[in-house]
Amino acid sequence: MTNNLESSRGLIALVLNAHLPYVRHPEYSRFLEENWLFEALSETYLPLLRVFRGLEMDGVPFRLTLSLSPTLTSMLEDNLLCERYVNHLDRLLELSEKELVRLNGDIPGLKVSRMYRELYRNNREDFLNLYNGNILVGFRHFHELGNLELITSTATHAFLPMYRESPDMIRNQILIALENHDRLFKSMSEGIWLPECGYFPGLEDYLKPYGIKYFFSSAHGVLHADDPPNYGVYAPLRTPNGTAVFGRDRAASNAIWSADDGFPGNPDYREFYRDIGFDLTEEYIAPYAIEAGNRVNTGFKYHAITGDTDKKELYDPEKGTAQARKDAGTFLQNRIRQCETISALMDRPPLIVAPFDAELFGHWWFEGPQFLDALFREFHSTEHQLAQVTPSEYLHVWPHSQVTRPAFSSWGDKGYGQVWLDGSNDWIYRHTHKMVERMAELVDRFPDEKGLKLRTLNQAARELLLSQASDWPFIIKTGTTVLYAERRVKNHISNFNRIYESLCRNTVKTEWLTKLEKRNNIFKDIDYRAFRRREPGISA
Amino acid sequence: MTKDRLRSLSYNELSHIADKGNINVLQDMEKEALISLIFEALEEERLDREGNNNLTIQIEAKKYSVSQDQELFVDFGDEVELPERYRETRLVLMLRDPSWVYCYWDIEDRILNELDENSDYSGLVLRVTELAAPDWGKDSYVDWFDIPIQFGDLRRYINLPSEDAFYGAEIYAQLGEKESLIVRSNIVESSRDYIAPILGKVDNTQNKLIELSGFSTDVGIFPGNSYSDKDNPQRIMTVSGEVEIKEV
Repeated sequence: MTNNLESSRGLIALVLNAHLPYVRHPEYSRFLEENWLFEALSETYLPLLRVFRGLEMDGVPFRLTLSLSPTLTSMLEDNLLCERYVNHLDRLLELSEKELVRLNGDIPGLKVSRMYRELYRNNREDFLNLYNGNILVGFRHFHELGNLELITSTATHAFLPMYRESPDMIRNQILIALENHDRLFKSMSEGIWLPECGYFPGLEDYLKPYGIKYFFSSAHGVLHADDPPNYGVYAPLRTPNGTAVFGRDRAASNAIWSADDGFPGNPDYREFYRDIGFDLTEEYIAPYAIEAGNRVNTGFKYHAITGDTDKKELYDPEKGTAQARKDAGTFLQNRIRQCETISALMDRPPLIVAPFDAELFGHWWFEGPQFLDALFREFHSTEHQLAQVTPSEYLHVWPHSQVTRPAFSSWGDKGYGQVWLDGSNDWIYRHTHKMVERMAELVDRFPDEKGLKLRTLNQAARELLLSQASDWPFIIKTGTTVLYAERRVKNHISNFNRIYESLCRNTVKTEWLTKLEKRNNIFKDIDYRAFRRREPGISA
Repeated sequence: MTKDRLRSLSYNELSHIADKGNINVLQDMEKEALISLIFEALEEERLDREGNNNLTIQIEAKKYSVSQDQELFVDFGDEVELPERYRETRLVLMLRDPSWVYCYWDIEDRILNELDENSDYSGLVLRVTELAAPDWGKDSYVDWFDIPIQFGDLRRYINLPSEDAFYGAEIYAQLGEKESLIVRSNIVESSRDYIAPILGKVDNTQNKLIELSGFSTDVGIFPGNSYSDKDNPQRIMTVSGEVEIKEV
């Protein structure tokens, strides 16, 4: 590898987008959808931090851009969810002990079972003793070392093209996210992860006033720009106001995304869809895999992908690790070849931007963190002329790029807004657009409140933001936990409307408000006055 | 939904699921056969749904997968009812993709009542207008078409005929020979879903780099052409066969 960006034959920018919607239900003793966070912690975030620590310990340099959404960071620093995560780990550790007994004499089965016991023990040790219940400390450490470039997303991961007629709302989604990032990491977010890579022409005008220097786009967002890009997706473009946009490279992305042709589909890797929560008897598994009457995944998955068959072979962790190393080598060799071809056509090193959902690594592709570990080590130890880079580093060396306006786009199915605006979920926007107007109206009517009214207005702002999460229309469209997503949107809309009507009648019920504040407690320092109507054209 | 879950349900509950899913059930079908029928139908539906999404979305959806059951039984307290409309006069256009907009509207009861009582009233139309600029000035009008709508209608998806053009919508009440404007929407700009033509001297290096990026400039030169791609079917060409990069 080379450290000199200018003399390299190619540059790789790996980008991980870590995001989950805000799910926190103190009104229940356990809540199924809180497992989204717990599974991501166990299989993605903590294993990734262990990979980073291993690389640091072995003196292996690495560069990664990591977007941490404000809803995720808010959950990661929430005491209730942290306590519940420890309880969740304790249940899994108890299950792992039971599994050792159940599998007594089954040597291959025991090997997998011990792997899980080690995983959950390590997670517990790291979570409680190393990070004191707040893993953001770990990410901040690697940010300060220069390995991670931490960036933010929008406040509640709103798909911004759906709010282009509400400029003040877009500003608030961005501003609140940036303030959250500054508070947590004591540094400015140089770039932003636009949720679902959702871009519309002119969006950059909301970014620049807040010091955001770059964002990412799907490949066609860049390639369908007003002027065809001189370098394809292999160099960023500058939007008319100077904000840079980095286009996603499809070849590098598909190598990892594709379930059929991509690395994660290898027969030796762990099968995602077989879980003892469904394979074992109810009598045995009930304490760990029955929640609110539903069978759920435990995370204990004993089978390998094997192939297109129901008769799955037992998973062999060593084979999985070996395959991850092999795939990391292949990925790197392919990027070397790709850059050799492209660099001959360019007067600067081609940049390969490969963005992924962070949760792909570990949660879905169990060996994903091992793949990244092997990739960074291979990158360091192999002879080649490629360099790893973050967008900020790139822009520092190459501040000038072709200026043009990217096109409306997303990384969703069919490339635009079809996932978030569809016959199944379009009903949401009539309400959320109305809420934006009503919020501004409330600020006009109550410009400087204190006490109970202040609390009420701040809660209205929280409900408004939470209703705009792109996750709800996404889930409704993709059909995973539709009922929950529908209820969440409806509840936030209903809560907001109730606040609005209460303030109009001047009758706020303190008990109800207090309950709501405790439940939907994101952005504790929110100030409803930020939602005031602004003059058109005033950006920040 | 697993077979075990289906087995735990009563015959009546299974019949209800079959009914809801438009699954044809033979009379006097045995419970186990009914379970198999429902299971297969739900699996088919799941695969169809997943297959309709690109890879990014399929994998993103895994984050929300805590169970292999598609229909979890949940208790979130009382069902929340939202107002169907806010009884205001409003018309909003939202660009969904380069050639489709979602349009939703509402008309105050007072106006609807007045129309209802007007003997000249013959109907409502949603007029979609192509504009040369993002304003409603008379000089901006390029073309328009009407869609008849009813009192109870509240939304519509509309196909936009031109790319890179401005569109707005209006609702008119038809009163005898005249028409009366009720509400006007925001203006949206449709976008292109192809690479803009390269102006001036054709630069083969640029063409090659765009090809390597997974696209073809041919699409820009001949916007009528369309290419299918199961991952991202917006006239994107795959790189295989045309370039030297091949994933191993």
